[in-house]
Amino acid sequence: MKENLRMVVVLTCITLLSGLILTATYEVTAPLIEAQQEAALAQAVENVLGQVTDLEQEIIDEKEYFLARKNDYRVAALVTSARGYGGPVDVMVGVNVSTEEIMEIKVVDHTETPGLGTVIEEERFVQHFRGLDFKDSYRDEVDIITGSTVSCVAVIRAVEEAVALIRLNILEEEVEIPEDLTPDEMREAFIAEFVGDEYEEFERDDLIVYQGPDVIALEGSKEGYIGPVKTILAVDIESTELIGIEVLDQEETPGLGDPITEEDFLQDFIGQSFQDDFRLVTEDPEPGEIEILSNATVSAEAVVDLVNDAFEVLRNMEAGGEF
Amino acid sequence: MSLLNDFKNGLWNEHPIFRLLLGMCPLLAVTTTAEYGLAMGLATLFVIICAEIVISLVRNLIPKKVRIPSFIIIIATFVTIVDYTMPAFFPEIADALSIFIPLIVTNCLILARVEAFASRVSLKRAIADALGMGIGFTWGLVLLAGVRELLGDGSVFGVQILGEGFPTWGIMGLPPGAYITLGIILAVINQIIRMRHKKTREVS
Amino acid sequence: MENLLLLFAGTVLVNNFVLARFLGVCPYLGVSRQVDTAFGMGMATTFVMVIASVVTFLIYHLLLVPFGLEYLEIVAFILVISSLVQIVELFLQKMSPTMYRAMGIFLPLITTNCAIMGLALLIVQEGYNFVEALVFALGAGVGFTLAIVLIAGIREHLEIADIPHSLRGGAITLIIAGLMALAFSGLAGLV
Repeated sequence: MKENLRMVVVLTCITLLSGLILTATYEVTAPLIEAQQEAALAQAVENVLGQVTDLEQEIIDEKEYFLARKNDYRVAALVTSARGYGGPVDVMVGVNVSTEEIMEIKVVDHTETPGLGTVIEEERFVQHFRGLDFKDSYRDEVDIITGSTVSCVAVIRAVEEAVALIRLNILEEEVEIPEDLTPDEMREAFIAEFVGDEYEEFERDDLIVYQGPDVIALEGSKEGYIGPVKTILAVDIESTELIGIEVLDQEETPGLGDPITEEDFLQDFIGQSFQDDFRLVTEDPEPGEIEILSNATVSAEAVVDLVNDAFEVLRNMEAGGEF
Repeated sequence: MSLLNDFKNGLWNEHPIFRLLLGMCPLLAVTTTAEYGLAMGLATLFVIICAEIVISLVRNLIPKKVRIPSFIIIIATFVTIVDYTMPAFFPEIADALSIFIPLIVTNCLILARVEAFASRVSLKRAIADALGMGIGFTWGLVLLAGVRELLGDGSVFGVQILGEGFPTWGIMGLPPGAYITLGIILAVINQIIRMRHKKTREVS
Repeated sequence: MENLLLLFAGTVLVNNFVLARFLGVCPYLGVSRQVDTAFGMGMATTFVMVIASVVTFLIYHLLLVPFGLEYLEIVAFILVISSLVQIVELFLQKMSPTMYRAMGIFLPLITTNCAIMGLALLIVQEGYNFVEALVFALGAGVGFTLAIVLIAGIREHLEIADIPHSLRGGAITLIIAGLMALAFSGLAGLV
């Protein structure tokens, strides 16, 4: 009995002592660690903005913006994040607000594969961003390095988000913040936006139909250049017009096939009645015609074919008095 | 002198890495540059010394049956101290060593020395052993790291040694380079020991 | 679901615990002379990994975090893992003698296997949820088993090869491990 008691006492003492020592260590080091992290952030800001004056911090929508002046220009920097290969990739983006250009970017945190994904820290990748104008998409401007596609695309997305945020919050333009959505999330958002909460879901001719009271959405997949291209579209029943379209999932060649996700391409579909199919043309599209982007023919065809299939389903449904 | 032997043991005869084959994981993971190898070695040295001192001091107070959990708590406490102190003063190194700092707690070297030595001998001898093992471990790390950094980057401790023209062996920074280089170093050391044995046999 | 499959495949092949992350190297070198023992070790490790991931996950999220005691992570985890191994050993002895015979002897060796502790730490670091943690642990164990069985297979053949004295044992195993790591790194583009 005495022996057992002794064991318990000794272990408890050791544990308590350990707890005390560690609590003390934590209390002492926590503020130091925080100071280090702040210093690192300040360093990162300096890296992307260089020497500036009147540096101040502003929190907008729970995000920290660094605003300053550089000579006569207004400059800004913020950290955005996108999901990379090994985890989130944090990028600090420095921009010249006055000239609406990107000044410099710096990857401040990541867990990408050493030797492959870590190329995003190197000059040969980062240099592409310097001097670029503000725009929605940088897929065409930046060379994606083989073997690190996911890492590079993550940085590109982070930069796109940063630029969009600057335009929205600093320049007060009307822009949409690109979101890091999975295909399922995009579908949910699309249906919520166009069809509403109440709808019937069923399959028809290889397509999934979401039939709501005013709007019908159809989703399907066609073979693109590399793999399946999954598209969803929404049609207003009364006007018979296509009111929304989104590419949910695709693996097309970045920079070549994936302009099919771009606004310019998708915009041409809006407003067409499902009574008539779309035709692909090489230039000067009229209503009812979609312009193919060179080098993205197969990818564009995948989307157009799907839309035409959806239109046929709708025509059959109408003929059958289903709405 | 027994104390000196206790110390020298860890430096060569019973070298933790090359003879006892312990501490392999951090060895391979953090030795991308000599600086990191040194940092890891010193961190481990700190833990070994503190653990052996404390355990040697209280060795008569801890009942046999609970000695392993007791040792573990004591070792883990010192590892946690390092884990929180490093990022506070050396954030870049702490970042590079990442999970291998906390993994010092699984370095069988420490538990083995504490169980076999510190819990049975006087404070002086425990300190000597800790110093020997810790420094031995450190030089092993620095050796491997030095080779990897030299061939992989052309520098040692950040000092450029090989000129611009040297085509750096990128593989040295990656797992294959680590494994193969250690294997070769191990073979070389084995060869040295065998040659010494031959000499002593020839002499006698 | 897709994410989980990718996580699993990625952990087994691309970010292999032994060949890419340097976790579990001691048993990898020590218990890999024969395919049978290697397989047993792999199974035992996977078993402990899965259980340990669940227990440490719960302890971290239900005990340490709510009370702001994250700095006790190392002490708590290593105590849990070592006791866990004892408990698993006793449990196996009583519940399933066949399983105990197959892998019981390896259990004491797993206590200081940095792979288990590394697994627990990584789960916290990567911020996985419960299901992701389980899949990650499974992938880690399977990957470890794959690596150790592969090298055991090679070492069995090496027994009859004529290897220079200095290279025997640890040295040649390390070099082969390096070549294996090289081969596996070719899978990097997989996920």
